[in-house]
Amino acid sequence: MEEGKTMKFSKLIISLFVLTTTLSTLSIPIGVLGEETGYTSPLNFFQIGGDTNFTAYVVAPLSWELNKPVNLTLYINVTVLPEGSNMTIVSLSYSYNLPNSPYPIYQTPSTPNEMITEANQQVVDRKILRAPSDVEEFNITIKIIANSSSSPENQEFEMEFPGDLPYIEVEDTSANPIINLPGFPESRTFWRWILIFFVAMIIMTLPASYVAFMKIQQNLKSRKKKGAKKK
Amino acid sequence: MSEKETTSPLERGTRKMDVLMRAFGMRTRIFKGSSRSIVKGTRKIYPYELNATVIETARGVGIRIQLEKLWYTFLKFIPFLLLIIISLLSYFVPSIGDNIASVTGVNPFKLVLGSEPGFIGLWIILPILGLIFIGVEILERIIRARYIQDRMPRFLSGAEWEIAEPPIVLDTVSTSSNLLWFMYVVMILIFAPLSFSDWVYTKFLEVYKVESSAIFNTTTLISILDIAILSGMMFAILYMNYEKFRGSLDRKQFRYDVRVESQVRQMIQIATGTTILATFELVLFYFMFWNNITVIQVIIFYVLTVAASVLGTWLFWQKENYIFIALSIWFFLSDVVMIFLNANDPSYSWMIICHLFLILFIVGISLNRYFEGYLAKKGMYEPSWIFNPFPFFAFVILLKKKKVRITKSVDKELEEIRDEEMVTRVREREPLTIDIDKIKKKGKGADKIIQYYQKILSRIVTGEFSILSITTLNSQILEFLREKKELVPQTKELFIVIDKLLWEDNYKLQNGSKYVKIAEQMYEIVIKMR
Repeated sequence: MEEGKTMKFSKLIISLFVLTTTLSTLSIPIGVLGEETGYTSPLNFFQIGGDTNFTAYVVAPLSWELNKPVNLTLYINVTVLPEGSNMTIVSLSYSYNLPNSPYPIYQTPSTPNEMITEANQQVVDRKILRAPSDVEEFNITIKIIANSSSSPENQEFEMEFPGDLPYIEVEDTSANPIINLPGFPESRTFWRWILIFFVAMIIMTLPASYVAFMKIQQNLKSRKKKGAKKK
Repeated sequence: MSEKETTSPLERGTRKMDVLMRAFGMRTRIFKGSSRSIVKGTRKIYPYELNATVIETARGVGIRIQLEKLWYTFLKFIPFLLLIIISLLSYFVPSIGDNIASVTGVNPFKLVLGSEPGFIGLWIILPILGLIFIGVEILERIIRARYIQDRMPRFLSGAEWEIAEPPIVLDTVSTSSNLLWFMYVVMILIFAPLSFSDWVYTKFLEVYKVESSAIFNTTTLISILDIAILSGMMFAILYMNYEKFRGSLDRKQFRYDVRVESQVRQMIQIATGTTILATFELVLFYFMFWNNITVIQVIIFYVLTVAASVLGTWLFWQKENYIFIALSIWFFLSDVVMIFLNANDPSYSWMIICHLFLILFIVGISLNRYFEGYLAKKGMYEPSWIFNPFPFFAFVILLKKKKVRITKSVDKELEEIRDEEMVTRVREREPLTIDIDKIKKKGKGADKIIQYYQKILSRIVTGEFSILSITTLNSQILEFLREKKELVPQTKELFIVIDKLLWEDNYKLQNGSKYVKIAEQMYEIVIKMR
């Protein structure tokens, strides 16, 4: 009877274990997929040089986890482009706007410098960004600097993410690193201390080293004797 | 035992003294004379001498115990003296330390005395501690010598050897002196980086992003825990080794009315001992490293020391080396805890590194156990070198390579002596058979005296006599004569003569008729009484 009970119990534990592991392994790709799909911002329409039209939108999640990289993808589509003319996207800059701070935080801009010669051509810019620390929410301003053959001077276009919603949320769910392993002290301190340590160590282990020394001496002696006997 | 040995009482006494001294862990030398002999006992590792002069007198063997070479005890003052000299130098000529520090980065004064030593306190406490250690050791020796002196006559006359209850407090104090210096070395290691000169120390603080006061407080706290646990557990090792060394001899004498369960007794003794040791440490280190210790920390220190000593005793009963393993585990686990604590408070950074090396230190110390076996091979079973930062005398003895009689056989020899005594005692209880023909040859009237004596005895008791019963009967006969006091000296004289007639082979009786008369008188008195 008892054996049967324990068998059942162990089976239960094993099945629970299998269930939890499968669930947890499943949750990983789900999380990854969720990040990938994210939220699509509303379409922004821009016009450059009176004859060239293009649209832009951003795909990125609406809640960013602190200290974790987030994928942000910017899609630029040229809708109207007269034949024979072209358009160049010079640079794309991203800056974070924090709710209580007048100064935006600039991220490293990307410079695709891509020349578009046909309509319906798409430019994609993928960025890996991290949420700013010490805030709960923020939004991103994206500046597109472009020129075209009809207006060769650079023009600046601005759009915001998430656009129709005020802010991206910052999730602080993931804990801070709880282990802070200090390295050794810098060499100046360390070699002085280690010298003191070894002096103390040698003094304290003198009895042990004496025994070791005598044992080695004995071994050498007995070896010599053996050698002499063999001869 | 063969018949050749055990002849004169002097020789027997000398042999017993010799065995006993070796049981105390001494190396013995014997000087023999015709009427006296001297047994010189020298402690093997920590030298001091005990002289026992055995003298043969008319009434038996007498003994006198003398202490020699007491001055060795004063060598214990050397480390205190060094510290006093260093503290004086550091106070009056601090420039020496600063100059050395500017070159090497290490101020030796600060390294040894702590970064802010309390000089006046040190000058008061160092001599006091030194004198306590010396005084206690001298007192202990005097007490032990007195014990031997008092108990020896009984031991020589056949009583079983018993040593008095060891003076526990004195014992624990002298045990503490080794450990105090051991802990001092550990303290120097822990606090060393905090005493380095500024151009080293500021960089040290920069790397760990800590303020000086924060790292100081944390280091003090952790060092209190470390020292408490180390000294508690190591005290257990040292004290138990001393107890092993004294062996079963000392334990027998523990008074019955205060006898607790033996294991509980050991724990209590060790707990009291560690309390004394903790006090010494606290008093000394307060003026050196623990300037900013709080009352709560003091309480923690005492409680943890006693708890560690009790745990150490328990571990010792399992196996001695478990204590070292337990210490390593403490250093490792506390390291892990400190790593987690360090996330919010980087002041633990130094102690985390330091603990890693202290584990190595403990491993090194535990290797010293092999020295014990090496000394044992040379016939030395003495724990006075254990945890001694510099066991000078042990090395001197080993390098001298003196041959010593091995102490291990002492128990056996003592047992042999006891057996021998048992044989004689059994003979004393056996029924006595008197050979009248043999006695007749000893002189005229000898047989008559013995016959009267026999009649007197048979009037008092019926049955067989033994030597023991005769001695008690003699004293009873003297009791009967209480009313006729003039007869007492005569009777005593008669008893001596009877003794000699019965047992001394070469005795010649003179004035036989006189003693026959006395015996007759005695018999008549006894008849009237009974």
